[in-house]
Amino acid sequence: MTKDIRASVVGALDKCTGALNVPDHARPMLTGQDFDLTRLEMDSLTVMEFILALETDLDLEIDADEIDQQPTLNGLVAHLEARLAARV
Amino acid sequence: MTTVTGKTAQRVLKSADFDLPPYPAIYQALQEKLGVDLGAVVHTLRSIPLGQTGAEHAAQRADMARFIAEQRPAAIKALPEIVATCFAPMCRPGTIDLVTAVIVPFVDRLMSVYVGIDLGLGPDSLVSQVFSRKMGVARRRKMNAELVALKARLDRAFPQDPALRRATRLSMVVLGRDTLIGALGHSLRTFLVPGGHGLTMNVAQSSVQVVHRQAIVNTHHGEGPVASGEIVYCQLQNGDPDMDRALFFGAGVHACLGRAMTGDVFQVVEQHLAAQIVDRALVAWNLRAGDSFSVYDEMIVKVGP
Repeated sequence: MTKDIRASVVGALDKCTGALNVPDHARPMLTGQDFDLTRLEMDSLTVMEFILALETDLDLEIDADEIDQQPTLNGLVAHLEARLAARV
Repeated sequence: MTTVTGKTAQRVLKSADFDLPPYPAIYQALQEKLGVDLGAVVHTLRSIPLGQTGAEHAAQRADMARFIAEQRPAAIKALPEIVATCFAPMCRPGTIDLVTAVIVPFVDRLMSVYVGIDLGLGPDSLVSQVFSRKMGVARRRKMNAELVALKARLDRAFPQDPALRRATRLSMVVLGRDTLIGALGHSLRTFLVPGGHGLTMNVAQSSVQVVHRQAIVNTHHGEGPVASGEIVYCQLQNGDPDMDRALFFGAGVHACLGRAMTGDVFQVVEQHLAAQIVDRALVAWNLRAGDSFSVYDEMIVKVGP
């Protein structure tokens, strides 16, 4: 079964920032819309926590600059899907 | 966050109003936040001069300077043979990746002479990347495991070493390896471009692009005020012709101690390559992603007859 990368990313974001507790954040994240990740104002430690959650869930090495270079949810999901596809 | 260049960068590096960010504490906080064992990285950052301040820093730096001076005669003696062996692929026809075929094996052998054990660190080694801000958690774990193994090897090889000297050997590898790999890569790239002006050292060829400093008091760096605690990025690699060439090795109390060693290396490499009359062309190159040191992870060179 194909892994739902968007669900993994949203789950990791919620784990690290509690994003789904904020209705304005939860709505676009859970309805397939794009979302500006800078709105979460993650500091460097939170970004590392987010990376750890993603690396564990996706079994993938991820660098912090990959996250920096993808300021939107859709962009990050597409980037991770491409990396996972390249691994197969 | 402020970025400064040229004379202002030099002023910041020399100023007593600025010091290094507290790297060990930053890593300790990361370890605690993630619940991941990064203890060997924290230990390494506490052991190397760039992770220390005050009297602890002065003592470690003095031991490192003594150690380099003690080891230097043996290294100078070994250099011609190491250069002849490791740079041989640049002197016979073929296509090579300069990084994996020449630079990394050369630096590994030279650092092994200095440190006293056969390091055997390959191109993918992470031991010099303790200052990386871009590395994710999985690679930080790998770096931690490498540092655990390196420290154990040094402890086994030199059980009589006092703690200061053990830290010095570790510092040689962590601070010396990627900086020399980067400096050699940049300088060889200049050497290999058409019309290149030889294997010379200048600011534009440094492997250290940016150095971080943190204001320890409210101060002024010449271009504007800096609040206590603020991080200033001192850009060294900006090609400013007026910049003191000494800035290639940094400035102030944390200036690089490997200056003489680097000079020895470049002199022997330059002489060796100049004596071999062959065509060499750099056909492709790629800088390694990462922010601690500017290092090539690929330099494809075609060597003609």
